[in-house]
Amino acid sequence: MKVDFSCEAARVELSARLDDEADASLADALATHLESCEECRRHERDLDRIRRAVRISPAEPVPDLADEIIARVRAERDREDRGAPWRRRARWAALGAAAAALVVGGASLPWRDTAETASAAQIRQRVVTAARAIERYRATFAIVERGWHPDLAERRFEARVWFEAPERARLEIDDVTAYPEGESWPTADALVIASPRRIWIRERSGCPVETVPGCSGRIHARSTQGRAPFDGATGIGTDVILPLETLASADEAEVVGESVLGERRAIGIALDYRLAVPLVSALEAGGPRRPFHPRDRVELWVDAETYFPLRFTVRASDAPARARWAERHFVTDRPGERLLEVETTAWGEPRRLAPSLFRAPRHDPGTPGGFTDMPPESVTAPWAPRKPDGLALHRGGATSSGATVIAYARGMTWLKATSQPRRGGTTFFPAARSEEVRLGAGWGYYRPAGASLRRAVEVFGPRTRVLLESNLPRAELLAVARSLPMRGRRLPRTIARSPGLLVERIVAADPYAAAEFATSPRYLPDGYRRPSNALLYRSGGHATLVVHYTRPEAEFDGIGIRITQSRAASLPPASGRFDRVRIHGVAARWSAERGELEWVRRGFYRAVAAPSFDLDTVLRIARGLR
Amino acid sequence: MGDAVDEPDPSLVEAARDGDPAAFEALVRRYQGHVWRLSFHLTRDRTVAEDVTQEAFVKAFRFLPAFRGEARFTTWLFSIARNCAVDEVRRAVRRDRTRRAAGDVPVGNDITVGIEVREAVAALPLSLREAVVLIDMFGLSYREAARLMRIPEGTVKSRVHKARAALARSLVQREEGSAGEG
Repeated sequence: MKVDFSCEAARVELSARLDDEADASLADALATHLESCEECRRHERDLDRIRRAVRISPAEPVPDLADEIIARVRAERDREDRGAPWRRRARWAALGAAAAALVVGGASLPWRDTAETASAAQIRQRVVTAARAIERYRATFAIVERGWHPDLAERRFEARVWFEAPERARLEIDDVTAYPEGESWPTADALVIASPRRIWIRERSGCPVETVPGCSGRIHARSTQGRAPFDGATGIGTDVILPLETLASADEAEVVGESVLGERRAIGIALDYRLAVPLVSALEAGGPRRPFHPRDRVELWVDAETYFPLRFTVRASDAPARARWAERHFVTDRPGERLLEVETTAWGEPRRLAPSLFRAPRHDPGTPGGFTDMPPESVTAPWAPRKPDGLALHRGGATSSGATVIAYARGMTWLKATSQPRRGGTTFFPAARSEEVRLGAGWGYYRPAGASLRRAVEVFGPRTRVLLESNLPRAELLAVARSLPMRGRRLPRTIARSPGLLVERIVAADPYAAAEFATSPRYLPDGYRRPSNALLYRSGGHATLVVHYTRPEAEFDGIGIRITQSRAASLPPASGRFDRVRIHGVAARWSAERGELEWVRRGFYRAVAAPSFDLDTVLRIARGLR
Repeated sequence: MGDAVDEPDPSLVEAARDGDPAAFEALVRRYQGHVWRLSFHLTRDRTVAEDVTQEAFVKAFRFLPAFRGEARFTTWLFSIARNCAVDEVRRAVRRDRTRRAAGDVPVGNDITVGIEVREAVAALPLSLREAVVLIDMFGLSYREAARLMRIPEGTVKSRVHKARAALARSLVQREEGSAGEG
């Protein structure tokens, strides 16, 4: 059915859509109308802003009328009790009928499920939606950090954040710790100013925790000029504004309940530190902070209406292997101890932020970032995605290496497309953990978000390689990739060939069948089901199979889980320090730094690397390999 | 704040319906604040809202035996309060004594535009104000609001939109006004 919309009708639907009450049969017509109507798109933003403002506006002081009401109701009851029982019942019946008519016209009303606590998946979807709507944000945070230094019970910081979507941010950190007198302690004050073309950071450096107290380091400013769009070095983690990256992986998060913080209804979410790295590290500036163990428990309370974080804490886990980890990192934490507490003390979405907040000092030219901006409309990009998921054209330009870039944004959400011309006969080697994905009739290579790299898809054309990077969730990013006006080529089975080395991709559903010496794991932690890719290295008569597992959305250590197997008589020479543990009756080597366990048994070398997990989990995976 | 109001335990409502005074009093203590807030937004007068709240609970007490759990208890209670408040507003209009003292507008300490928004909501005509209060401040669905206001769902939809569009215009005017002053 084709529906032509007037702007007025479209706007009523847009308003309803914000409440999840839009007419589903009109969704396509509405989308078509929006594509061609700038006015309605602007109107939608206005409506959204108003809706949020009404919802988060402060509640008025409420009088306590309970005693008065109860007194009146008692008087009413006494009056009734004086009447005869039969009269009383008759009156109820009559009033009952009247009340039903008055209230609901006799019809039933649905129970509304929003009154119940949302699931982690629902919260994630709402954060994704809220991220698109946010334009400006400002907040102050009180931070308490414990266990940074053995002579200091805690450090305290005040952080102030200003953000203007999509690329302007300012972070100020004041160190308000009561340091012991007599010795010099380096304060961790910092200032970070980010704007689309420039980032400027002033903080103290040169004082690793082992040199403290007594070290004063030096405070210096550094900056980058000609910064590429969303280059990852924004200097401020936006997860403290909306936990988009953290909750993108919320499949393993647990909703712990609801509470009231200040005057706000809040939803509590608990997850491991390894899943919450973007949030916990968001306000880290001004020198090193204390380390956290991957299994330390993060409890995050977000505002039930806006999903802004109101409070988060990190507690030391009681994982058995944590004591060894703590020793290695020179920290002494008690299980359950609160290591970090961050509280949002004030926050809001101002209608205007002074431009000067995002202006870095002029006197410091900074290092060149290698990006030249051009008016985005003038950038020739026939390869650009046709449907950038409702994001608006934001910036365009060229890098010093000859790539062309187009960036799109809406609120905090962004997508960047980079086209690199292919030169000569070079074969592109996609990142080792890329996963082959079907994009319509073509193919693409997907990579989850890492510690600094963002979620990405590479698509290989005859003359160009297009790289899409974004903070959109996987499904949305892949939908954008499918709208690229090119059919992505499938990489050949052999992806690298040099004298003495051949690297093959194994694309079978069970990659372990590709090598007769390999066995598949019978246990993997939650979130790791299918291998993301598998590579077979052949060197001389020797073969090694490497299988990677990554979670679909993000892998903040950049690896996930890697299982390596080959024929070997003994372990290869060790690099770095390691501990000995026993597995399958043989001595295995555990490198805590790399998070890798290696052993040789009956002529087979096997290794399990999982830097986000502790030894207990790695042992469990390893024991399932036999 | 769009606090979708929590439902009471069904056994509490049942006990109150069966005449347990302690149960009804527990409901009063729990919901009197919400009922006052709804009444306040509809009447724009703290004192009138207090009267409406008392009246609403007395009516709720009388009508409770007819409540059969077809609707949420809170929706049922709000519809009583809404009817009391609307009656009061209409009476006030007739008597031409609508009190709109500036001092009645709440003052918060949030750094958002919240206060201006509340003022702008208060300035909306009753039919639009009611829609935006029920949907955005009390978290009702369009269907619930439609039943409560006794209008079709489509009308709720268009009223909510009209209210938001009017609020957007009014805030832009304020913004331009304050920019002109500054």
